[in-house]
Amino acid sequence: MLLAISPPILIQIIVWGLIVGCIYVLLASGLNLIFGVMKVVNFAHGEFMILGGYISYSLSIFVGLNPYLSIFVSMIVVGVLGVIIERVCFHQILGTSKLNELILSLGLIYVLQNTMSILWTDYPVLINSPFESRVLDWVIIIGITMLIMTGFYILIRRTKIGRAMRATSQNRVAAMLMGINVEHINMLSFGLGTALAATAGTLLAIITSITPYSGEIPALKAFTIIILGGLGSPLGAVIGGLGYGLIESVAVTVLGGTWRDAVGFIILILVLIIRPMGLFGEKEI
Amino acid sequence: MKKRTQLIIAVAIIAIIVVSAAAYYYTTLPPTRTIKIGLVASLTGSAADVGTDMERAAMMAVEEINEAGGVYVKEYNSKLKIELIVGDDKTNPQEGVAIVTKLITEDNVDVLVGGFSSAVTLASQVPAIEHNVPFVITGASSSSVTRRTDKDTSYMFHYCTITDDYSETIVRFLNHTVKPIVAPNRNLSLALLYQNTAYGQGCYQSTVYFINTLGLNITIVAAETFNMGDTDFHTQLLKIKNAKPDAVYHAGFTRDTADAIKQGIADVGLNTLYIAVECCEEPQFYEFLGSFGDRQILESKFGPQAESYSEAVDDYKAKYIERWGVIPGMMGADTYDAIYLIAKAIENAGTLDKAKIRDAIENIEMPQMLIMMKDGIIRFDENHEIDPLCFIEQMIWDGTTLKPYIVYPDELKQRDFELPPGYVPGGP
Amino acid sequence: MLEVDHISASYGNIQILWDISLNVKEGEIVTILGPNGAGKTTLVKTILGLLHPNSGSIKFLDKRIDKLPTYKIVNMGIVLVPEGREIFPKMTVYENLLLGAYGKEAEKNKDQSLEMIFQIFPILKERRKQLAQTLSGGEQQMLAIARGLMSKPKLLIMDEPSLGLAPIIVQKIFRVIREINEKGVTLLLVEQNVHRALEIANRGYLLEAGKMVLSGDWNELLANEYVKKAYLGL
Repeated sequence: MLLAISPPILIQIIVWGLIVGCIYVLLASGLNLIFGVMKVVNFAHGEFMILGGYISYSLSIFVGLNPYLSIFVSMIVVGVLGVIIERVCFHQILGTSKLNELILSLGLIYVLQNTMSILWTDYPVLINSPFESRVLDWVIIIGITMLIMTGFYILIRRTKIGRAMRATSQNRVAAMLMGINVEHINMLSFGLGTALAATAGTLLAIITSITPYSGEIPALKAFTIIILGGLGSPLGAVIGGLGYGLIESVAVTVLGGTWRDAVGFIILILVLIIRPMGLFGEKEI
Repeated sequence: MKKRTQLIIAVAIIAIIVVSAAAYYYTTLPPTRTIKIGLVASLTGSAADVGTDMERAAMMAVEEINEAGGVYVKEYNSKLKIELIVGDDKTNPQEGVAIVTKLITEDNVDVLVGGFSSAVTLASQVPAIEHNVPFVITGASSSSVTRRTDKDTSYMFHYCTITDDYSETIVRFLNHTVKPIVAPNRNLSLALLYQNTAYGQGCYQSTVYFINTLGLNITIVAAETFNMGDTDFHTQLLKIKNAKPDAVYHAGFTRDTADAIKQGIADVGLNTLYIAVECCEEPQFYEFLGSFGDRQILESKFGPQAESYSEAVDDYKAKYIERWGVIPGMMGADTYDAIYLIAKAIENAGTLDKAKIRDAIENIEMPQMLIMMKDGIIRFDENHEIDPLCFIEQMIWDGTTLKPYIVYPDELKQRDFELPPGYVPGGP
Repeated sequence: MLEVDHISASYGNIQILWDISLNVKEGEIVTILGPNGAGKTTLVKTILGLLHPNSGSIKFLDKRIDKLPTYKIVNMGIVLVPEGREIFPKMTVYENLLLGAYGKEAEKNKDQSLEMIFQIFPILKERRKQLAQTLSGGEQQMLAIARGLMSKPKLLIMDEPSLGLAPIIVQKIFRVIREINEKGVTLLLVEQNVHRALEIANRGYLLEAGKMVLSGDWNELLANEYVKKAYLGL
């Protein structure tokens, strides 16, 4: 099936898979950070992503800001909102029961969707690129993803705060005993995780279009990716994200467009049967 | 007996007969009442915009008829006013069943009109079928609302274009107008990108059917699908590009159609002729496409955005804008026509008996209104479907706005068809 | 330095500690003895603020600490080397040590502390780039102690440092404990190994079933008939 496609178009299909993969990488990395540190599954992660897209959209329309610069503004806005939501919502119920966290994050989905619907209506929007050439856009999208992920890696691996985040994720009590204010770390991780989601949302609004409800399916895919990559494994999120984008692109080519959303879940089920801890995960984080 | 006495008695008898006959006549004449029309529309839920348009159109038609005095019904020997009772199906099958049941059993409607989504209407029509209430369905692109075999659909009428109409119009246009320009000596290569729903599949199947039935020299070189709500069509478009089509028929809704055309031109470099279907005939579609829509194609049956092509449409559009402040949408036009159609049928029936109204609708023959008919006459065929005249619009970008002009069929043509800028023909 | 005054503590509805009092003076090695399940670890957790007492008070350097969050208590200078090591498995030895010096004070003295630690535990210097999870049990215990020392503690609490280790390593650990004390660090040592603990401690407390049953100088305790019978097997 793939052989029937001419090489230049096949290359485009693969490149497209990688571009979509970039969005998954950003989305899954943020989700993974929040899960790793707080052990909370934030089902509303997709809505934070779309919110980031809308903020960049408004900045590019009303302020005339270059969308690639507005990424960084919307990152900050959504990150701060993430911190506030962590304080006001998750912080209150953390450690009470997994069911409470589940219901809270499911509730957040609807609150955020309806808020976005009021502010931006249900009609789809997209961010117009300032460049004539779409190829330039793609290079920038891949470049920005690499830049942000490198920054994220340095923050997590090379700084004191990143060390504290990893310590909290590996052993919460021991982290407290080191004098780390773990509640502070929760807040920062949630903010950073949602900020990463916001960048994914901006890129998504540049390559396709978004509505207040476009976050649901990508969030499910991000869950699949971090389960595939191993919960809490940062490298797994990167490889998983890019791999997922590629597999999706190939599946649409070979099996048809209706398989786009199904194929990832089929792979997930297969991987869980063969390797319940995920491809890159170990039993303990 | 004297002759005089006999005469008096005779006059008296005649008088008694006459008076009692008159009294009998007047006492058995039913009291005056209103004609109750129940409108089934999606006023909330995902199709709320469409439902609102249908409600506005129905209200306008009812107001116009009532202002002219109402509908003459022989049984009552007077003109009766129409009362419109609106029921919200909330774009949901269960809610649809509940609201139609309520309209029939509590509001005692005489006739039903409306219905939008095929999935919702297939459910909400059931109470009407069971209670034998005539239902003129003005939405639902699936032919099954009158052709289903599991229920008796003899009270169901479909006043709406269906996927067969879209595809027939599109392939005829391609064969008549596009093929001579881009592929005079070979088959025209057509690709389809369709929503994986009853609606999208209907478009695909009817395309294949009409190409074969009409014996057209069109080859389908690619048929790709997508899920409802998808926003990323790059991979499908790349695959279509690989198949080298002369034109791409996109069967979807406003949003996915506009996304696919933009992605095809800007991202994938598939510079071809894109064909959208009438579901996209909304002001937002033109806004969203912008310059990407230049010289692209839209199949339609009612073009409020286009240049004037029908006095009836111009009048309706002017009245609608005056009354509601916005340009009318697509589905309201069918509902507007249907209210007039029902009024005419009731007048023909001369009664509010539901079976007789049904018969009158079945036998209706009246001049076309907003939706044009192939022979200019509104009538229902054996499937209780109409035979509408659809047309093809070409959207032209003038640097600031995108505006449609009719390019097919010849009798409605406002402009000659042109290929889009940068058009690359496909291959055999 | 540390004054625990009549505290009671419970997990949910189950009371673990009843009316416990103890104190530690600067420069001392004090040991808390007792069998498994006596409540020793609970007592330590309560001091560190991982569990808040129902009643009573805890003072450190004359300040109430029983309502403070753990990180504030740690930053005041009480550091715990927890039972079962609790190292960060997927970080290097070096990163584990850096986390010990998380507090501002400790961070300033980071290099100095590292030098001292590598002197005491040369094996950790060798292995500083290895992931902590690859160390042996004894090495992990050393890392846990070293990490505690990185915090520049005023009071170092060690919860069962000898648990599950080979005798030769236990010996080394106890030597190190004395060495640390000689460098001026006050120590509160929680042990099941009564004999070894009393060898190096100044004073000791005996905890049984959540109650303080005995306290006194090391030699008093060693001489106590009950201790002899129940814990020393004499």
